[in-house]
Amino acid sequence: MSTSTEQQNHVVDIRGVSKSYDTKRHSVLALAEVNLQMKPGEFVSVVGPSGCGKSTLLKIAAGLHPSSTGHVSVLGSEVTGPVTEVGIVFQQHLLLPWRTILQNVLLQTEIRGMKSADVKDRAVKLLEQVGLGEFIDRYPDQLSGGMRQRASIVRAIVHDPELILMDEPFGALDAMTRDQMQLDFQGLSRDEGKTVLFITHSIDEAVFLSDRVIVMSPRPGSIEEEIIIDLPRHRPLELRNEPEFAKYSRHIRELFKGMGVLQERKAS
Amino acid sequence: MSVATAKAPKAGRKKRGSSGVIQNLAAPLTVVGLIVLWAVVVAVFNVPSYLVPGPAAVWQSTVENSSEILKHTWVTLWESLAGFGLGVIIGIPLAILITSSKMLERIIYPLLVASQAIPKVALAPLLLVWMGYGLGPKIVVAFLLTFFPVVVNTASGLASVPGEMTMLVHSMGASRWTTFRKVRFPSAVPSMMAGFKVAVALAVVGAVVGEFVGSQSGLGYYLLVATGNFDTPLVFACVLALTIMGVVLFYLMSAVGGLLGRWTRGMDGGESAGSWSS
Repeated sequence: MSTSTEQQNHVVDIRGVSKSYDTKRHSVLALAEVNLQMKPGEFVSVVGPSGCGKSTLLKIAAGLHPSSTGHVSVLGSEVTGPVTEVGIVFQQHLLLPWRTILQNVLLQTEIRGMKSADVKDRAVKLLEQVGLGEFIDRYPDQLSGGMRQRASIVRAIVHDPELILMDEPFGALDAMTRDQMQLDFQGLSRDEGKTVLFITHSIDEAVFLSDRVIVMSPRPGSIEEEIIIDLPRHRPLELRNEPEFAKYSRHIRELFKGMGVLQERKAS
Repeated sequence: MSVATAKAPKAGRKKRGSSGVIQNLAAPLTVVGLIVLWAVVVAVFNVPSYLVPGPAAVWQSTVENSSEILKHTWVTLWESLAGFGLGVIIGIPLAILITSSKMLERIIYPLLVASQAIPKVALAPLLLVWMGYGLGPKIVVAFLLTFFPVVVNTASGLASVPGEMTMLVHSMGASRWTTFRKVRFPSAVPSMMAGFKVAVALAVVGAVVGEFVGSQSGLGYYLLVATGNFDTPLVFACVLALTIMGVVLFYLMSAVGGLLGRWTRGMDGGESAGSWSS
């Protein structure tokens, strides 16, 4: 069967997924008929307005929320509970305050029962790579927001997962730190050759990082358009000023305007 | 730059609390000032000693009866600590039960609230009938007052873990037990310590109430005897002893929290919520 072989080639395969929440009176449809396939090594961003269900989509893919309808498979197996072959980064760093940075990163491997010395070496190496080499024995409250989020990203990749799921990971950072994180993470994900599903509400961030951008409509969230970002994978910050980059951003902005998400006031 | 924005408020708060000789001396000076005021008021208005003795009279009585006071202090201290210990031993598992399942919460919580609605003081005579004049009723009253703050604070601490943190460890393949051991229980420590501080002070109250109802020893008993003899300075001396006991126990609990604080990071002042976010 061609469909089954096709499914196995996809790291993430989401078919006909809807999600509705039951409130006291009625049920609210959060996601409507979403289809998304991700190839190995692909960096896919989902961009959409607040409340469009993009975070829900990520949690469904991770097996952390059940979907109401449809099928999800990750790395060839049907998702029925929490998927463990992934690394997840949320908007909040979620580092445990009583553990050092290194201990926080090693929580991942500790729980998985990976106890070899190599694991620790890899953790230290990755922390050095993101500029936290001097801070591995510090506690989270001694670090800046950006540093904490770096540690939380290292925690998500220390066990070498195929798939990384990121839910607005840079959303709580200031603009400057955010730019730096995008540059650093771009390098990290490229070197590691990971498949990344990246949720964001920043259009520029999505275009800058992704091979493909999924534009979602407001609630009930559905895929409005998929845009292949045909730019070289190594992207310097200056690329944002280039017309080919601006073209993508403008196009996505126009889409949101068309959906009534962005509205312009007439200049007086 | 984000270092500054992230850390400034916390550091600022700490500094304001500890720096400056004046601030360190503020509390002792206030106490001294109040004692002086007390002495002055008693002297100026010529208050008879059997109504309100002056600080000097109270101190004299304390010294004269020091061995008796000390003997009764040990009894009350033992009752309080036993009641507090029971409260902790029973309260923590109860809090874990409540937070581990919605069903258990629905069953246990109303009972817990109802148990608090019962005036424990009213139960004391009944306990006397059941358990006699020994330590039993006092320990039980202390326990009854203690365990509610322990349960409530532990439960709220256990429930404070963000949902996404639980999701994160589930994605690592953690079992419920692992999640509890590595994340939920340690997260609850700051809130638990806050509960313990309240509880240990209430334990002393419980023990004294138990002694009031019927006993042959303890500061509550000694206080009643002194009242019966119109020995008001001795009554004040007993109250003083009780106050000191309560304060010492409270700060002892704080010190334990401080020691744990070095081990469980970010729990200063029970600010567990603060250390999670941002």
